[in-house]
Amino acid sequence: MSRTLRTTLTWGLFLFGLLMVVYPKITHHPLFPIFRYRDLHSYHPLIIPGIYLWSYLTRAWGAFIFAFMFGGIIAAFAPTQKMKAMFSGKSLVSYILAAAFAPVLTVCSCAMIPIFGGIMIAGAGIGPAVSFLLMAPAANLLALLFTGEIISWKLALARLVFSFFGAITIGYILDKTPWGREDEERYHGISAAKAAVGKARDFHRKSADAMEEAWGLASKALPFLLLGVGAVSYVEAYLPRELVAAYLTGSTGILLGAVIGVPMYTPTLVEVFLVKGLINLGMSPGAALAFLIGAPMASIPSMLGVSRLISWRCVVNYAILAIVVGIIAGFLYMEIIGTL
Amino acid sequence: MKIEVFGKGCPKCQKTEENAKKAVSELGIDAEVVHIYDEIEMLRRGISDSPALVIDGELKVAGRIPDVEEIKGLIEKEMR
Repeated sequence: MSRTLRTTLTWGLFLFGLLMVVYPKITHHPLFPIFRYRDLHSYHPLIIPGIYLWSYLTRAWGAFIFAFMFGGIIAAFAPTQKMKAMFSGKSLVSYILAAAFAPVLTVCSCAMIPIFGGIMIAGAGIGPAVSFLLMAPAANLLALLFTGEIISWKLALARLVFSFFGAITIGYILDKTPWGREDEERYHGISAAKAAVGKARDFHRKSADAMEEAWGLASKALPFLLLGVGAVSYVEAYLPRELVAAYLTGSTGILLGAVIGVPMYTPTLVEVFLVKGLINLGMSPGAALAFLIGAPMASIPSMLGVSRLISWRCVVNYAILAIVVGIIAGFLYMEIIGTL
Repeated sequence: MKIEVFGKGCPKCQKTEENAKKAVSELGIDAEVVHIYDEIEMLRRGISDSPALVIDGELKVAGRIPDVEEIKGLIEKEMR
């Protein structure tokens, strides 16, 4: 394929996705008809996941194209080395930049643990590293986009803001603990390997890379996403509304919302669809926000991964703080904003 | 010659491994391509961005997929 054609395809798809996302917001009409399911109970159990997925596909296929192309373009064009060099210090600026760049860096690399370790060995220490680690899953670009598109943009903004300040605060606290300091010592000997500076990539090459990156993101996320959303359809179909009303609303809902994600493994983005399903059943917005912050920050699978790098004391410490942040965010949202 | 690909088994890392193997076979050289999945090993070697391509112990590309031509160029430079 010629270079120009590839570049056109990359940016064309990106703009097309953007149009699909923006158009319904301006005209208040979707460009293509959206499939809406009736009461999920009324369908045969075997076809419920299919019905459910179809309704999302007709509603969000534009957002899917936009999200993956956007992620690919950022992965190909963002100057990651420069960005990382900017937060390899111990000042407050390092914390802020580590958290601010985390949503971008997550689309560039598929393994988070080495980046986390890399921040420590680059000299920033455990504080900014933890800020990065917590911000990355809680507020990565794709997760925020889907929170906005599927649930509500108000909630997505709240997720971003609370994750950001939460991650910075928790990193800062951990840096002051004796166990945090101890863990940091372990990484003094290692120095970061620098990639040889290759030929500068021109715009066409980067655009072609963006396509490849987008495909990489999509093929990594989509299988789990389809399976996960399929599973969520049964939650929405069979979880009694009374149960959701009793446990996932008000103060109880916020407290429970922040912790139910801990033992749960929700692959990237599936948490958004799960929360949407629960909201359809009556979950309160505050509880939803608590879940969307607590679950990705403190889920057991991610804690297991991180525990290979730092001690369990540190891991448990940040997990508890993350749950606290989720709870605080939930209550503030309930008191100040309240609606979706 | 030893070519190492570091990654967690994600599609991007698989693609990098695939490209490295293709580069080796197209050049017809005797080189071993290994894929290292262990994140701790990755970090111990000072590598933080995946996929990463290491030729004879030296980090060449990190955080993106190098294409076949680029890898061929890197190998040839190393052989000279």
